[in-house]
Amino acid sequence: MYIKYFSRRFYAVFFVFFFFFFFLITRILFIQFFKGKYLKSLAKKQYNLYVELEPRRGTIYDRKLRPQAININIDSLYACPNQINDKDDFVNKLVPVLKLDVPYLKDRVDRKKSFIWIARKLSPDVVSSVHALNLKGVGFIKESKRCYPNGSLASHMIGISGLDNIGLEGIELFYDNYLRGEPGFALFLRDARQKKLELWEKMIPPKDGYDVILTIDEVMQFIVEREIDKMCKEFNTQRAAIVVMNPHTAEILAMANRPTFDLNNAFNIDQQTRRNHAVCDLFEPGSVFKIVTASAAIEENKFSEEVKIFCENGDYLVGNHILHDHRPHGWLSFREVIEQSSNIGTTKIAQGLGPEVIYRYIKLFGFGSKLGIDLPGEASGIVHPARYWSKTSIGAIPIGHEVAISALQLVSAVSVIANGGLLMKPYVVGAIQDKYGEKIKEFSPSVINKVICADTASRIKDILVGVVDNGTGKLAAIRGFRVAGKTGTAQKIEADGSYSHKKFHASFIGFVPADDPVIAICVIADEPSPYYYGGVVCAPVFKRVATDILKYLEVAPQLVKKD
Amino acid sequence: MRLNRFLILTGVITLVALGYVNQQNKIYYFGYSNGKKQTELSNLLDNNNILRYNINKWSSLTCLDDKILQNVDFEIPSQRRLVRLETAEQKAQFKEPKASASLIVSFFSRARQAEAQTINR
Repeated sequence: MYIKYFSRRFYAVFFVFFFFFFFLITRILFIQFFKGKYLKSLAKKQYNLYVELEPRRGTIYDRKLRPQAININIDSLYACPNQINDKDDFVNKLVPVLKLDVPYLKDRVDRKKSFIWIARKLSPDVVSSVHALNLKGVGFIKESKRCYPNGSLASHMIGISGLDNIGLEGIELFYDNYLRGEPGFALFLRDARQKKLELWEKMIPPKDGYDVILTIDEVMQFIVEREIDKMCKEFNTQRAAIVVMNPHTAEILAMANRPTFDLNNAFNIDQQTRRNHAVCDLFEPGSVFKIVTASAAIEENKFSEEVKIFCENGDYLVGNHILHDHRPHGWLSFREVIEQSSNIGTTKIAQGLGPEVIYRYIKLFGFGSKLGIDLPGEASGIVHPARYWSKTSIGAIPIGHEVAISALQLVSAVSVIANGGLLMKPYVVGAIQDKYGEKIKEFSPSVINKVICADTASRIKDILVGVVDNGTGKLAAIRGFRVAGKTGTAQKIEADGSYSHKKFHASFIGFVPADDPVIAICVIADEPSPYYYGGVVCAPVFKRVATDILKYLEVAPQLVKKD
Repeated sequence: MRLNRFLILTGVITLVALGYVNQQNKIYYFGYSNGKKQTELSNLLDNNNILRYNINKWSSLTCLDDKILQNVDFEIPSQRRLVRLETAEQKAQFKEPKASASLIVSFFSRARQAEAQTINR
């Protein structure tokens, strides 16, 4: 009987333990096989940290590899409000160092969050001042900031990038795909206090952005910026532009606009100031446009340089409009018409060619359409087809009115004459390379179309040399060099549609040395005063810019025989 | 015998467990020290970049223009100089004064003057 009771107790205990262990094992199997993945993911979230690795934005260099835009890592200040004990004391200590408003900082610190930004991308001296305060509840995170060591140099061309290192304007925008790079990521380990360790389970490194090499030269750009400042100061000009180009390759060597801005403080600047006037804005060119009419006349063999044209002594009826010269002329040769910039003489030349021919050459010279420069916002210009010309248009368009062009188109047009008749596509980026200096892409000169033959270009060149030697462009003459150029003074249009007698657009285009041109320059000034003639305002600027650039490029002067 | 085996097995398992714990500790130890070195390295690299940027900035032409050349009209020096040569006709028009016979008189002659020669010819 005792044995019988013992067996029952034994089996009872055995089954209790059996069910207990059965339940335990079932539970273990359930956790392992059915909840395993979920629990693993929870654990991974705790001890793994997914971090996106920011790529380095590419550097922008000038043609001699001098950096124009670089990225540097700068500290940004954050705070953990729940770790700050005395918030008033915290705010009072930080405000004088960071130069922030007290209400703004107090509002941020009072938020019920575990993390807030206080100030982004601080300068090193501000960072060290904050460190010296020894505050609890603050920390620094490294962020990448785009910096421009030359300030406002070539500001419109280089452009700006935003806080998240995405290009917004200029080269920064146009080549953003190359400059931006690709982010990577890493799964870092964390300790029990959620602190990130420098150990990772998985990492895909970021792909740094490519570097961009511009065609501009920092020294030439500086020369141009200095001279444009002088011109604006001397002639009270609010808006101006200078473009320097290699006429054979169409590389932009320098491009300056006024007003300008510092690229390091660009976000408070209005849109008008940040606008690249040389590329994006249009104006009526005036007499500089006569190079088109003259080129068409010579190319079509309708006129030669010595043909005499009667300039009506200063008054000429075209349609129902009386055309005037700035100075009355009688009989002038074709050459003299251009040298003295006679509107009447040019109109008669245009009448001899006809509207269709003039329009064809205007389009051949690249006006009325985009040239395809690698900068955003290029304006195509306004040129009306010949069938839309009125009776007075033949007296306006050939002398640079009733058309709207940009400074870039103007310098490209004069380069046609300089390089023997080819319209070249202008560009500002010469090459793209990786961070090790290996070239990824190189850009080479490309021809848009042939405009005139080499002989015509040579003859027009001689006429333009005459403009500087004997005509309206005397102030552009450079000792020791033959300079070819053309002046322009265009009346601006008033709000009521009439031409103003007080507001003018002055311009000068030219290239030097005339026989083997190295540079072509376009200078434009909007509403200069008190003087407004292109030959007075812009020609001296051309001379100063060209003189210094020729010295910098070590171009030997030509000894000119004086008659 | 069975007790010995049990003790040995327990000892081995304990040692393995301790080894594993030690390995995890070392991993986290290296993680911390690696993190410190990484921070130091990145700070040094960043300081280097900032210094290079400052050198570029302060040596740029725009900065030099602002600081130094405010009152000076900077001009790139010319590599060459244009010299107008006299023609034969112009030379013939100019009559040089005759040399004085007397040596003593020649000392007091107006035609005699000191000539400073330039270094760069």
